[in-house]
Formats: sequence, C-alpha cells, structure tokens
Amino acid sequence: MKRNLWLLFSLLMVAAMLLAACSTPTAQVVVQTQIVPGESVEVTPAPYSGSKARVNLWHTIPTDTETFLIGDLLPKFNALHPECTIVARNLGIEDPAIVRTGLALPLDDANRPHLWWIASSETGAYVEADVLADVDGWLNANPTIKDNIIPSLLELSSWEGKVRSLPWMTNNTAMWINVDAFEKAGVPIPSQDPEKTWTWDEFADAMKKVTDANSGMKGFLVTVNTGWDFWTFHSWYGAAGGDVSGLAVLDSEATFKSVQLQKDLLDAGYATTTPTGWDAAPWYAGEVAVMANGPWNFPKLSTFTDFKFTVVPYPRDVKPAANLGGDQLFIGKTSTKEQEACAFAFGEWILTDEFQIAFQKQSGNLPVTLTAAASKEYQEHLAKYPFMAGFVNQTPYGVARPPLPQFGEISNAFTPAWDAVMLNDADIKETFKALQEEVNDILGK
Amino acid sequence: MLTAKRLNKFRVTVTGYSFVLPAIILVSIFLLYPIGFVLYISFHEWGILGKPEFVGFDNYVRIFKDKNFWTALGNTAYYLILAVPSQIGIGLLLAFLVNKKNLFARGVFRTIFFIPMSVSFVAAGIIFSWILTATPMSGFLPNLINNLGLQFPLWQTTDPGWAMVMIVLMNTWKSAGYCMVIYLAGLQSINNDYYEAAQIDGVKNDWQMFRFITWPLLAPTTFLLIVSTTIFTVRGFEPIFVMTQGGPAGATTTLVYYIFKKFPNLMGVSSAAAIFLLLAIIMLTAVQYWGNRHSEKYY
Repeated sequence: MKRNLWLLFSLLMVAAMLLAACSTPTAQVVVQTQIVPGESVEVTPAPYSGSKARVNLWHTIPTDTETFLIGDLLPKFNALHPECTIVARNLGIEDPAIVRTGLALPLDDANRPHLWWIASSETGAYVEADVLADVDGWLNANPTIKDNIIPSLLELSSWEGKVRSLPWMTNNTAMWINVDAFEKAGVPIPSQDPEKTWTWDEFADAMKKVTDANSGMKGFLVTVNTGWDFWTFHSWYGAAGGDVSGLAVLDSEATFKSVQLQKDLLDAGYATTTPTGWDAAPWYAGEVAVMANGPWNFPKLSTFTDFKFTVVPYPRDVKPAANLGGDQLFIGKTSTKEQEACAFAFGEWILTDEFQIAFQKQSGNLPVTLTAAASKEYQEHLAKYPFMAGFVNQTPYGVARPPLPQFGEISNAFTPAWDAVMLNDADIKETFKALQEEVNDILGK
Repeated sequence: MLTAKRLNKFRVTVTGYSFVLPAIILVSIFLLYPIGFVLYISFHEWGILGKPEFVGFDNYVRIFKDKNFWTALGNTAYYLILAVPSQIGIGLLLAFLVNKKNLFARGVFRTIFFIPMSVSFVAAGIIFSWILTATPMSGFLPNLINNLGLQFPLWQTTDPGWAMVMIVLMNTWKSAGYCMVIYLAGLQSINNDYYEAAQIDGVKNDWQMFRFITWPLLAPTTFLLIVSTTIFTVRGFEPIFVMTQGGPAGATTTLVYYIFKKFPNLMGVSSAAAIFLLLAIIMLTAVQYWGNRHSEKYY
C-alpha cells in the first residue's frame, strides 16, 4: 500500500512537471512603465493595453541619465504620442549577446526589442541577419532630419552604403591634462583647436618634462589588456596618416609609428600602464599627468577641484584625429505598422534639439545634430565648462570603428598583439604584420 | 509469456524508474539537452541571429590551428598546477588546526575559515584586485612590500607570469574553507583506535602519526577533493574575468575564458572549444580514477 502511494506520488510529480513545461510562457520581463516626474521607477511587469502600440526599448544608459530619461524626457514623448507606450529595459551591461538573444525571438513576441541602444560595431551582424527596419528609406523621406545629423556620424551609422541606425549620442576620448603638473614643469598648455594643438614631438617632450618635474608622477597613461586599446589606437593611427576609409591597416607605417610612440614613452619611463584604460582614478589621484578618457565622466569632472585641469585634443602628426564613439538607436523590424510608426516616432524625437541638448547636458556626451551642437543653450553649457571644448572640437576629425560583423573578433586579436609589444618588448613590425595576417584570416581574405 | 514472476519484476523495475524519473527529466533538461545543443552548434557556424550553417569539423580544425587556443590550454594547466595543491594543502592544514580539541574558540575559527566560501567570486575578485593592484596605483599589499624595500611584481602589466599567482591567491583564500570542511569530516571519521595501536607499535611523533596513519586514512577524502577541485578550477571563470580579463598579454586566458571571448560572434568555435573542454575534464577525471584503482580500503 505504502509503495503504491509512493508510486502514485512520483507519477503525479512527473505529470505536474510536464504540464508546467507545456504551458504558455507568460511575459516575465522586467519593465519600466511610463513614469510621472517625481515618482520612483516601476519594475514590475506592466499589463499590455490593447489600445496603444507597445515598443520595447533595450538600453544600457547609466543610472543617473536613465533616471533623467525616464522621469523627465519620456513623459514628453508620451504626451506627443499618446498612441505609443515605450517600455524601457536596462540590460545592465552593453553585451551584444543579450541583444542578439532578444532579436532571436519571434517578430511578434511581446519581449522582443524593437528599439535598442548599442555601439555601431554590431551593425554588420544585424544587416546580415536582416533584423533592421529601413532607416535609410525613412531618412531619405525626411531630408531635413538627415541633413541635420553630423555627417561623420551618418557614416558611422552606415553599412554597405546605407544608413542602418540613428546616432543617439556621440563621444570620443581626448587628453585630460593636469594643468598644475604642466605649470610646474614649465610646459605650455596645448590649444583646444585640433588644427593648432600640440604635435607628437611636443607631446613626447611634454611627457618627459612633466615626469622629471613632478616626483611620483608619470607623464602618460598607456592602456593595455582590453578592447579599449583598439579604440584609442584609432586616434594615433588616424593622426599618423593611416587609411581611415575602412578597417585600420595594421601592418602600415602609420600603425608602426603610433605603437612606437607609446612604446618609447614607456621604455623611457615617461609613461605607465593600466589594465583598465577607462578608469580615471590614476589621473584623479595624481599618478599621471595626462590620460585619454571621454566626456561621459562629465558628472565627476564638472565638480572636480583637487587640481586645475583641462581637456585638449590628441596630439596631431600628419593631421588631427580622434577616435569616434557613441551609441546608436537601432530600429528593428516590428510585427505591426503601429509599432513601426511608434519606433520611428521615437527615433525622430531623439534627434530633436530639445532631446539632444537635455540628454547630452545630463550625460556629458555630445550632440549628434548640427543645430543642437550650435544652439545657444548648448553653447552656453560649453562656455560654463570650458574643458568640454577639447572633446567637441575633435568630433569633425573623428575616426569611426567600421561596423564589420567580425569587428569584435578583430579587437580581441589586437589586444594580445598590443600587449606583447607594450609589456613583453615584442618587435613592433613583426607582431603587427602577424596581426594583419590574422585579421586577413578572420575576414576570409 | 507473462508469468507472475516476470510481471512482478516488471512492476519492480517500473517502480524504481518512476522514482528516478523526476531526476532524469531534470538532468535531461538542464544537463543533457544543453550539452547536446552545444555539440550540435560545434558543427555549425552561428552568431545567435539567423540559422546555424553546417560546416562539419571546420570549427575543430580552426581551434586546433589557433595558437591562442594552445596558449589557453597551457594557462589552464598552469592554473591547475598552482590552484589544486594550494587549496588542498591549505585546507588540510586548517582542518588539522581546527580539529585540535584543546584549541580555544575552535568553533569560531571554523566559522571564520569557512566564511570566504559564502562570498561570491565577483566580490572576492574585486576586493583582491584592490588589495593587490600594483599599477598604476598601489594597493595595500604592494605598498607594504615596497615599503619593506622589496619590489612587488607588476602582475597586471609587465610581470604577466605573476598574474595567475594572484588569481590563485584569491581562489585559494575563497576555496580552502571548502577543503577544510571536507578534511575535517575525514579526520573526525578516523577511529582513535588506529592512533592508539600506532603508539603501541612504536610511532614516536606527530609527523610519523600523520605519515603512517592519518594521511593513508585520508586517501578517499583526498581523492574526492582532487577530483572536485580539479573540475571546479578548470571551470573557473569569475576570478579571471574580474581580476585580469584574460591578460596581461593573454597570460591568464584559460580555456573557459577563451570560450567566452569567442562568444557570440563565433558560437560554433566557442562550442567546439567547450566540447574539447568537456572531453578533457572527463579524461582527466578518468585518469584520476585510474590512478586510484589500486587504493586500499582501510576500513
């Protein structure tokens, strides 16, 4: 009898598991509903309202800016477009795999992203998979909007001759200068005009003098060990006259020259290395006088008073250059015309001056439209924070990462080669020639 | 022909299988299916989006031709050689210490040594990064060492050989408590009669007691720990991701991290590497069992 009861119990357990496995999955995504300013952010699943088109926005906007977007900016969009519900979801980290997993869902799945924020380097993969809406057609039908986007950012947003996404914000890295250290060393502060700023020789000389004059401080911070290296490398490569029409040519004289410059500084003791190039802590702590970093640090930089500082462009060699970055708004294919209309309405809205000025002032990144960048309000903002000119002035000379599907793999191949030279004294030409062969293999050439 | 005996045997068999059926289903869903899927993808080219494209053994050929793969394999072996003996050795030492009956606050020490197990690898990795960071800013330990007139290795940059040592340091701090608890159970299961008999037979000191009595009787425990810590160590990802991200110069890129770096653009390649890792762990475990085949059962 007891054994039969156990048998019955086991069979019931199995049946229960099978039933659970076969049931229709409910949407369990964490969502943020429309927020009224002043209210805290909701993080419970929102019931779908049949009368509005629901559009899922996936992003990795930092917390402070996200709160500003959800609390202050989105309500304005909702007021303009009551037929739309933007459901924003913060992914936590900018991992292409998470977005790809979402895009692998069926087109009519309630949890699939329709809008997402990510760097342009994923564009090629999205085009290959045919998951994007026709942004190029939409922009051609709205020439006023298209002509207002900064031209270099339109290039950044393009792949195989067509615009595939809309720029949301842009940035670059520039040289953060410890002015006190420069003054102590008697080194003049370089101009913030990229055409008139310091040259490579002046930069190397400045690093020597600043290191010699400031005990316990090195001149420059060389980054190793991460994908950050490949991105910042583009500034030096572009300045050395490298071909920027496509992927950087890694066995070219421009590459060798760029790598040699930083290697020489390291060998001479005028620079030090860091495995976390984006971490500004060594500069804030006075360990280095100059580091390359971006404007997204604006919230801290704008209130920093430990020492006098400014931001200037990368040193120029053959020409000025800077690495162009930022995040795009990708608009994906949708299952209904209403969702598509709302998605493009959102895209149009983020390119308005009102949105661009407010969002970029908050986040510290740079506007993507010509009118927003030239507006009185944004110019007043720049005048209030003069160091921002170091980033803004570089934008026209930006060198973008090509949105190849294999870009991530190429970046992963670059880092060991860079580290081998910077850390293990490998021969520059041999190492980077081998790297170019590896890249050619990756590209199937 | 269905006799009563056969019917009864059938009923017993069905009863037995019905008891294990829930476990079989769970193992199938969470273990066998994912492994099967990874094996399937290892013969395809796929980037999550779109349909997988069959490429045969191309992914396996690719990883065997990739020098980074062999470097990762070497790094994994280096990690194993450093991590497994240190965890087991320190775990054994701690177990001996907390097993002493006359140790004051023995229970407190056991708890203290076990607490690191409850800390996540990510939190431990971040803390140890702060403590051990040598460039460009100096953490607590480098400052201490440098103030003593010694040079702390720049493990994050120019001394890549030390990077794995730092990871093992963190890993050992975190995992030795587990080994301690297992060894403690092993020590307490040893019958005191053996020690008394050994004393009668002329065992003179603690070292001889350990060598001739304790260590042989701990053989099954040691074997269990070698197998389990080897598997856990080979699978380890968080210490490397948090502390070094595979660097510097690829010095801490283990096979697991290599798999991670290939994901998601080259899922076929990372799946092929994952299958290789699975087979390697199975083979390593089989070798360990084969090496233990002549072990004596003392009690």
